[in-house]
Amino acid sequence: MIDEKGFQRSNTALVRSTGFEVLLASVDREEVDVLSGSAALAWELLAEPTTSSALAAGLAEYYSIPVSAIDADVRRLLEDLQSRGWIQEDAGRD
Amino acid sequence: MPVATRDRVQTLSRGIAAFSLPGTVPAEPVRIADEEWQGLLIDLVAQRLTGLALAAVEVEAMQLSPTHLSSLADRHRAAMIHALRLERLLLVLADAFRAAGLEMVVLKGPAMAHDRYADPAWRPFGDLDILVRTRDWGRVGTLLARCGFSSRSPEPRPGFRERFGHTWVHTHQSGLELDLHRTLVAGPFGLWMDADELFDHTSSFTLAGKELRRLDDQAIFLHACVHAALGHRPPLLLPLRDVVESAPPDWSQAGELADRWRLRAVVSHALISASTTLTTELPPDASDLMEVAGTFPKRERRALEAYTTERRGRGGKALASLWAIRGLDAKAAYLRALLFPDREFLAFREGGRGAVALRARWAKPLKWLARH
Repeated sequence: MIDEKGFQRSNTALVRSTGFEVLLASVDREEVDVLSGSAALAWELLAEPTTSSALAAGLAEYYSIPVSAIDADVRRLLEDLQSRGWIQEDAGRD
Repeated sequence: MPVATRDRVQTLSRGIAAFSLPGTVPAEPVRIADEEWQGLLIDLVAQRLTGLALAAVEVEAMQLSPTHLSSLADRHRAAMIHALRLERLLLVLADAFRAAGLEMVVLKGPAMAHDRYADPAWRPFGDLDILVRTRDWGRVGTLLARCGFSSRSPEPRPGFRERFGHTWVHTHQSGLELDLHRTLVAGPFGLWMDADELFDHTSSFTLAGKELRRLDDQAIFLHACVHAALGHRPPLLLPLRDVVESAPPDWSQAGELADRWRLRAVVSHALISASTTLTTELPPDASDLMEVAGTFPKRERRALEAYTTERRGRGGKALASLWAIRGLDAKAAYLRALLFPDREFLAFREGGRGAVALRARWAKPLKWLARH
């Protein structure tokens, strides 16, 4: 289960947070990815290693909505960020 | 633009450049009028202040309409994407330099943004600046060509840049620009520096998990002063902010290095300009380096004037360089290169060929003389 794992930002990402958006680049990819809205907020919450469920809880609290309403979206976001190399599994987590 | 609006835009830009610096907190949010916005946006982009402007909006030190905020965010996004592309290229270059056994020190943009500023998004940059050892100049040029760079600007005579020059501009096939430095500034101050000694004053910073070399705390401050004081007349706002951001932890050590590199007058000029233009309070220890102009050695004072007075537009830097070059043979070689440059250089700089280009070249010093 992906939501049992902890995630953290990849230290190989080139990052700029602009207040409204997060821009991500790396030497391995030509494109610059732009995270905005809830994805940008998720990136901020990923400053500390966190699990999918903890991230969903943080976002649900911020947007005042039930966790169940965003749980699946958060999992998909984490999978997407991981596949693009922007986050990695938390090595320090058992 | 009406004079009053232009003055207001300049005041606003100065305030934004000083955002969050000590003693600069505005009593109430600054509101931007519609008639000021276009001029301000143009100035913010030109002076690379979009990140500081957005930061000011975020903490409500400045208020923008939703439309104005959106256009500012668009311009800042473009600036940040450009900076990220440059950093990606820098990482590729760092690997290539390592593999070739060549040293490089990252100057200005990325080093300043990641190592000195609270947030790298506050410090956009338009190109890469890399310091290499003079003895490696040729090998680095070959390596850059292999990495997809080319240089369009010829030198006055073969070996001129390596002996008397400061930078060699390269353009990557992607369109991104790299300034290769062998010293920190063009003209007498760059010639007085021991270029190899710069490599004894380095530290490191981390970019995307890779360790890169930068100037150490004293040298990065001196370079910020050099860039702010000598780069443009009058100094630009972001380089002045760099001076404040790169304040050294030990001002007396920075002063000793400034003495050795004959930069006391430059440092004083930069600190006074930063303090007055950004109306910020500098640390008390900085006052020892903010001496009045009359106390500096005449040679340093005259050299500084070659950059900061109207002499700059009348060949002041070239003349001051001539004084700084040691040895009659070297002085003669410098003069010969400036007065009788190669045909390719003439065509590039003067846009003409042969005698026409040479006449255009010679007309410049005659005009300088005529204005004296």
